[in-house]
Amino acid sequence: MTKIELCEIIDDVTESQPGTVNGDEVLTEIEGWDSMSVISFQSIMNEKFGLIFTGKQLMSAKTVDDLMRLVNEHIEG
Amino acid sequence: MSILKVDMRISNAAKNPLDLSEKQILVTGASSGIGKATSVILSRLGARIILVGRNAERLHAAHSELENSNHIIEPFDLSRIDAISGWMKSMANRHGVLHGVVHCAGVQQTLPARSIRLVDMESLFQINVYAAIALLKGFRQRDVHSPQASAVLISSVMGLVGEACCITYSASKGAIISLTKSAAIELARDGLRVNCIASGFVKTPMYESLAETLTQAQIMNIEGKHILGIGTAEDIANTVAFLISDASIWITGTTVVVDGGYTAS
Repeated sequence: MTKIELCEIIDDVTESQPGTVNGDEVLTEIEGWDSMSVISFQSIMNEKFGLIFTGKQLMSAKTVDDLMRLVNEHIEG
Repeated sequence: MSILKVDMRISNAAKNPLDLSEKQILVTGASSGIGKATSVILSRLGARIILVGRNAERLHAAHSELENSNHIIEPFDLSRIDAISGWMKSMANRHGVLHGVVHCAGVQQTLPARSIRLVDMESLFQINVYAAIALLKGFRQRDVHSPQASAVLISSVMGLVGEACCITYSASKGAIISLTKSAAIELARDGLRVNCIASGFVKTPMYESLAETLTQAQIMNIEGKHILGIGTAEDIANTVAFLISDASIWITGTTVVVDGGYTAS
């Protein structure tokens, strides 16, 4: 997955306008990134990529870059 | 009360009301969780179980845990809603009438409102609700059930109280509670009792996969609401046994809450 694709998913789950998230953000500073959007993110990852993330794993990601690494580790793993 | 029921009570007076010997019970979702625990407990009470699930291999594994070896493996995909009635009729022709049906197969769904799509609702309702209705439709056919028979549907505390991200799941489990009442009224004339169980969270593979997606704080929140702690599949299966057996002969259209105190507060 590319970082652009990840940002589009974050825009989607936080109900932001497309292009709002640019990839440099701290996740908790993105408006709408909360427990609901985390569950939406889990659902999309499972449906589109067959990846299952635990709540603990996602909570450990502090930035969009952390999340990108986590996703790619899962895809490669 | 019908004369038949009174006669039955007299003839069964000396019998353990929980005895299920000579009874044949169909259990859906029998390969794991509440369905498997139900199959085990009903088999210990003497019932012959028809184990239903999609995967024959997993059903065989569950079968090996049952008391006695006279049980039947019946692989079937319950998403084939319109085929359920004919399948039940053919099953009764092959194996004899059913004295009970327990619908344990179910799907859990955790989705916030923002992510709910029609496809999510349909996939959930297909197994949790549509299959339940189709099983009752099939069960009520004259040649499919014994003169006095019992159906038990598994609902959830989520059908009684709310929780974030459970809109679709709550709707499906609330539907089970509602349809139980109408089905009980309509199917009493066929000799069927229909009840459901509102289950709290119990340690099953389904709960384990739900817990995996939650944070520690969310898990502690759920577990803390169960005054008696998280339950086991056997806690639900024991109540199924009661509702299937003659011990509950005067109970129909009701929801038995088995939740370790979850809904008490």
